[in-house]
Amino acid sequence: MSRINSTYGFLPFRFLRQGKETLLVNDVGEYYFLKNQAFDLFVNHELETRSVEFQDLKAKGFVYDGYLPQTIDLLATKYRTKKRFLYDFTSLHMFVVTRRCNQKCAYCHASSIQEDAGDIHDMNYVTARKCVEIAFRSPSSCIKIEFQGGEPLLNFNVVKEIVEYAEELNESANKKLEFVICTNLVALNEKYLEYMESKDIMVSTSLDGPQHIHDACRKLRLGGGSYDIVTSHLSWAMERLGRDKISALMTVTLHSVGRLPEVIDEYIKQELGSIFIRAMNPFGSAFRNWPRVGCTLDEFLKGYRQAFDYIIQLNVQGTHFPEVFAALLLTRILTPFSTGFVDLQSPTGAGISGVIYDVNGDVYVSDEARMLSRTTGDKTFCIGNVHSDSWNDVFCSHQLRKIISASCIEAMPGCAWCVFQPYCGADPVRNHFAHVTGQLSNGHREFCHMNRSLFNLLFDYLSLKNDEIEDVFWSWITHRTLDEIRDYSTNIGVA
Amino acid sequence: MINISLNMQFDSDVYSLKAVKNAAFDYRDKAGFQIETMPSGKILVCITPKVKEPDFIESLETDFKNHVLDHQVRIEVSAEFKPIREMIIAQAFEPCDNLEEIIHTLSNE
Repeated sequence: MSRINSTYGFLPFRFLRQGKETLLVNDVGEYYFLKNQAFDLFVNHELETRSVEFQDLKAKGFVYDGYLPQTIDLLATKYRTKKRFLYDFTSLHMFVVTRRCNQKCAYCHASSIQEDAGDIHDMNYVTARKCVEIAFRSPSSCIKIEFQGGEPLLNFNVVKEIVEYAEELNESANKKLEFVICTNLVALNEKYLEYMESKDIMVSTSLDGPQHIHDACRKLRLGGGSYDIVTSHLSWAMERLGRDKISALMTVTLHSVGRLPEVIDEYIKQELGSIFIRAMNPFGSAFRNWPRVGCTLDEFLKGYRQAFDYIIQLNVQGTHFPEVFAALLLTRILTPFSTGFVDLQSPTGAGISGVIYDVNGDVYVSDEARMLSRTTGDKTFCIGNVHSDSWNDVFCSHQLRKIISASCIEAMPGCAWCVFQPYCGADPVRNHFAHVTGQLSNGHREFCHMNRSLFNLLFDYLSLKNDEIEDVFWSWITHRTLDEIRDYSTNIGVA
Repeated sequence: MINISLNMQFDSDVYSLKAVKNAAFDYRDKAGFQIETMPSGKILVCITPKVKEPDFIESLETDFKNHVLDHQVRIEVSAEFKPIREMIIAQAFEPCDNLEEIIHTLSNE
């Protein structure tokens, strides 16, 4: 591998052999498949510079053969764009307005408690206002306030207080302000809907699939499954707020892992526009009930692949229906844009992209950090309290800096040379949880195995170089219909 | 229980210790590794497979050798682009005016 007399030099990239081809990904997320033989010539500085492969590699920023400063400036701009999420410090503010819940789901990771447990388990007005004040000290130009629980509709007066106080503060702060309520919809009523409509509040809900799957884990505290009331309120909310204001996610369990196409059919039946297929979080009730309702990671991945193939088929046939997590990863792979996602970014989004306020004003770096505390009493990731600490105390603390600096995957063994590193991230809370509970083998390795498998799945599709599938991916990324994407592709082709 | 282990030697004129260690790190789910440098300059790797099936052991041996080779390639190409990587990141967050001068200095080092 000699550079002497070479007419080109390398720009930073990583690679992975995949059968007869080698996948190359550079630091700004551009990718290229090179036949193994061409790859060997490439790394030996013997690739013909007039070849199509060389010209492609040059265009994508894997190699240079001319003036270097311009190339560095271009890649620096792309790198800064990819890491744009660092500038939105901190945009997502989650409020646990109550720990009470009217459901008792088998995999509840939030360790919610019974509905009539009393208001000591609710966030009060004083704490709520303090949290809003801290949130507005954030330098980010966008503030997204997300209501969580327990079930936030059970403390709706405090939800209203937060919305109104945030709007008041925003009159002078002038930030882009959004509200999302994460609700199981059971307690929805006309009054709440009217308020949500008037304040443009988005809804994020949970639907695990058709009745027999949904009701297997999502039970009402009063008894019975919640499917009937949830689907009825879902239609009602869609009618009033608009379909685009409502999204849903499902948690994969032993009951659904082999039947995800049925779940997708149910989402389409309910007129939901997308699905977020997520694995169970190993906290709270989920940790205790894992043997009863949990599935292994390999079962999850097999089920996800089956679901993804089914979703692709549906999309190719004209039903616009993205899987939200795949769409996020594809945005990272196919576009130059930044996509902060608290659970999968480097450095971690914990604290710097998102933060969560518990009912008593404790500030945690992520929802999982709060769950860790509730499950084990471990407050490693609690970075302050709104009653006793200022914004500086919380967000400029040594503790938060330590968490962030320890989560840069660029410097971690295994991640440092992983071909998927520019698209991936770290989850320090989950790793820590695996250590304190003695699940050493289930920490980073499972996290890594899951993400690598999902990236492999997406790159399997991309390696097909199939226009139909790529059009589907672009329709997800750009939130356009497949026909719009096809029209655009055709026009570009004609031009 | 049968204790099967594989011994492999890598020539340190061809392979760096880092390439061998990185490959062993990637394979830690499949086997246990003990790595030593010998007075002869060779790198000795003692591998204890976690699965004792002959097919598994055979493919482990072949795949591990190829994996070390790939890591050696990574180390050699990254030695070439390391200063450029650092410049890109520096330029991304704290752009400098004299980039050309810095590149000239680095390429003469």
